[in-house]
Amino acid sequence: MSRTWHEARVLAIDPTSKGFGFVVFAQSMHLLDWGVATLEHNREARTLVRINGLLGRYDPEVVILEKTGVRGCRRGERVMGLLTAITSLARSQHRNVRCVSRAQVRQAFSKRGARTKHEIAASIVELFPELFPRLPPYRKLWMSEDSRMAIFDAASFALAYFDAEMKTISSH
Amino acid sequence: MRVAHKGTCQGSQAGEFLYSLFNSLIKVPPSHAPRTPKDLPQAASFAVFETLCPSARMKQQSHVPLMDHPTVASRHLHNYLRTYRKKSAFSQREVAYLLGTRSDTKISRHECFARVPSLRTVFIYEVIYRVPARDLFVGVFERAHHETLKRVECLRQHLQNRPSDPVTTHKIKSLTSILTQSRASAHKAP
Repeated sequence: MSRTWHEARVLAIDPTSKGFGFVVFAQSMHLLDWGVATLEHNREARTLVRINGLLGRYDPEVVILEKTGVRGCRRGERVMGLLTAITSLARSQHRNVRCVSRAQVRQAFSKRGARTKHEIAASIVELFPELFPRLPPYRKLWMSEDSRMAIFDAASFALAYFDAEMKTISSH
Repeated sequence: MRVAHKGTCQGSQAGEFLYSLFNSLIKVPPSHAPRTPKDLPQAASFAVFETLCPSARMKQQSHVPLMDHPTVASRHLHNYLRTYRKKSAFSQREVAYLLGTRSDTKISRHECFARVPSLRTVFIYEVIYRVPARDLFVGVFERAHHETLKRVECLRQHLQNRPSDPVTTHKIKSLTSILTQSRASAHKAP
């Protein structure tokens, strides 16, 4: 049984310096699960094991990651390597991997007037109020990024992907 | 050395980094040893899985093309307990308290589909999340529904082959109404 994009279960992952954030959508706009995994030792291996667990539990058709190697991408080498490993892992299980760039995210959320990461996160909370308890406070210049922001980054990738798919379908 | 997957993530020396890291952690089996730089992250991830997660055996494939259309069969999840718990903003420990148990391990096992809850626990979940049990356990319900309909169809065919009498006719009527009503009510995921 094959499913169209809006019926597919989608897992979006955003690796961070301390672990990763993830969001699982079912039937495009149903939020199934979300969370942040903080891993201390042996982070790369443990991240892959945790992601393999998520793939097994939710059996997503599509895995969404950040597109690297494009203008505006400020990812470090470790995370870029991890993204490559996650791509290999997902493809080895015959899952579709889609990469979304930050520019695509900004473009998708510009319609809602959201430009900064915090505005995008607030915009996601408007769509999914259940994420409100996880919304981090506004980041001041001297503060480092809250780990919970990874949930909103992953959600923004997934929503940008849905936006792009909708455009493709409407253009056809 | 540079690792690059066509059309996806690229990382300068990322494969080399992962390879050296994983090799320092575990011994990569010869069957999983990378042949080209492109194989490095995949080989490393396989080796890690076999070491850290022996149950997660995967078939190694040198190259899996990007599929344009999803082909993985997808059904409802076994249950949606985790989704409803997170929507209610409860922790597993809080739900454990509401269930009247000491530890949250039980909740985790229910949510990870490792254990089927008792009937009493199902009713408590129904009270906590204010959702009917069939919506909480969609996967279980659908499987039971599908199997029962098959058996109903079998029993109906068996009875139809029997000589007709008022009781048999009434049974066939009941079974037919079960089939009609069940097919009419399509079930949807939350």
